[in-house]
Amino acid sequence: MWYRTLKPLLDKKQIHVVGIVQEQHPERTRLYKQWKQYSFPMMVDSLNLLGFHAIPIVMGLDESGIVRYSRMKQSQLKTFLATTYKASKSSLTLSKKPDMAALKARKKPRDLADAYFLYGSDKDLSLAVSSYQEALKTDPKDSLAQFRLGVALRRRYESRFKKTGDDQGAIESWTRALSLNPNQYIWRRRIQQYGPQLNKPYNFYAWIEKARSEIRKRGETPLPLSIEARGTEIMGKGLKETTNKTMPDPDPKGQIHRDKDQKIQVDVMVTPKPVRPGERIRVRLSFRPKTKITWNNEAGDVQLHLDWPKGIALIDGSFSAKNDKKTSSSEKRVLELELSVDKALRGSVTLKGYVCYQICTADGSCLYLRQDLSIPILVHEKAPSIR
Amino acid sequence: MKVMRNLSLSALLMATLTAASPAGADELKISKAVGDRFPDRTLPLIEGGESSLARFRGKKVILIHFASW
Repeated sequence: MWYRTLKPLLDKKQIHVVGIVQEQHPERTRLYKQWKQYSFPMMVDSLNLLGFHAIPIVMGLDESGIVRYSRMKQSQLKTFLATTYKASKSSLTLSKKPDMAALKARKKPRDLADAYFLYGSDKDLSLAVSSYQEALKTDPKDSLAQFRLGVALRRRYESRFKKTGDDQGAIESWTRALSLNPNQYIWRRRIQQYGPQLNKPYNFYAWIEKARSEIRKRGETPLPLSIEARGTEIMGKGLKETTNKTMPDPDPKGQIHRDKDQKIQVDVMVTPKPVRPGERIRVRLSFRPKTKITWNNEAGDVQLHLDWPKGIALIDGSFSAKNDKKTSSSEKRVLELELSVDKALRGSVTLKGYVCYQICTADGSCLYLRQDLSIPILVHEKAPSIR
Repeated sequence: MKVMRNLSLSALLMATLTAASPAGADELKISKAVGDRFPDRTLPLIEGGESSLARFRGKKVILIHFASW
């Protein structure tokens, strides 16, 4: 274990250890750090500014910041520490928060977008998004701008400034970025985080509950996460097909009143998009009550029904979201499905269906409503494989 | 360290090492090869605030590039 080896050296202040975290949600690493009781600082590189293609990578830098080991092994540590390296003067100065007006004047929209993302608040995420989009108008093959647009869209989706389609937009940007640079494993992982179980190299976030439990046993309070990992994020690699493919059909004749003003906001995210023929997709449906709307938990659960077009088959999924124990609540509810795409399928396919739910409005009236769903799937033989 | 957390992660590392290829034309021109100075980029700190590796000059640095997944 690297840390066990490095801890005595850290305690004696013989070296510095610095983490660079490649993660969409860096606060998850903050919890991981608390769990593992790491004492070294960690810098966050969600935008992949340093251009790493893979993790984990351990490097050894000398006293002047010169790379002496680019992929260091534990067996090389002793030699690294014992070696005296020639001092090198740095011509670089510590970069500071950029002058935004100067950045705008330089007309480098990707740099401007990076600055909005790094130094702005959630309110500035829209400026980051529009600046990345502007960069892509000039150069649609700028894979870095594609990847970072996805990071900014996902961040905005999880903020109070979210716009409909931000979650799907993030997946599409990451898929385009990976298509331009299929050897970028960090970008690949970002798609796999939300993608089909089949494509997962391992379970990404199953450690979170274990970490919380062990932190509590130590008498500490686990650091909070602003966004909980859920669904496919906490599932391992899955190959088996479910035995339960029975989907409810609560309104076969279409008689239930439609939720015309969308009291429940539905977000649809298909990962990846586009998908390669013969591979799998993950569909994530999020249901969020609008302001002053609550779930009526004394009535039935949220129920999903979908019709399967030719070439799309259900592998696994949940079709109903259970009610909370409280009589009413307003939490986001999520259903996920894993689907297979036939090898012969090409082009656009729309998965149609509906969701039924029991809600109450601010004036106290409780309603049973239906909202029709349309889930666009795009199948393209040149789509990047995310396995 | 998480680096050696499980076999799957080791397998991932092996896969990424063997699959590495030259960066695309629009990749960052940041070299991290032996003998180069590591890029002095200021980044947010997970603990709050921000920092640059320049802050750690004067002692040898072990840089661990990772994620919790």
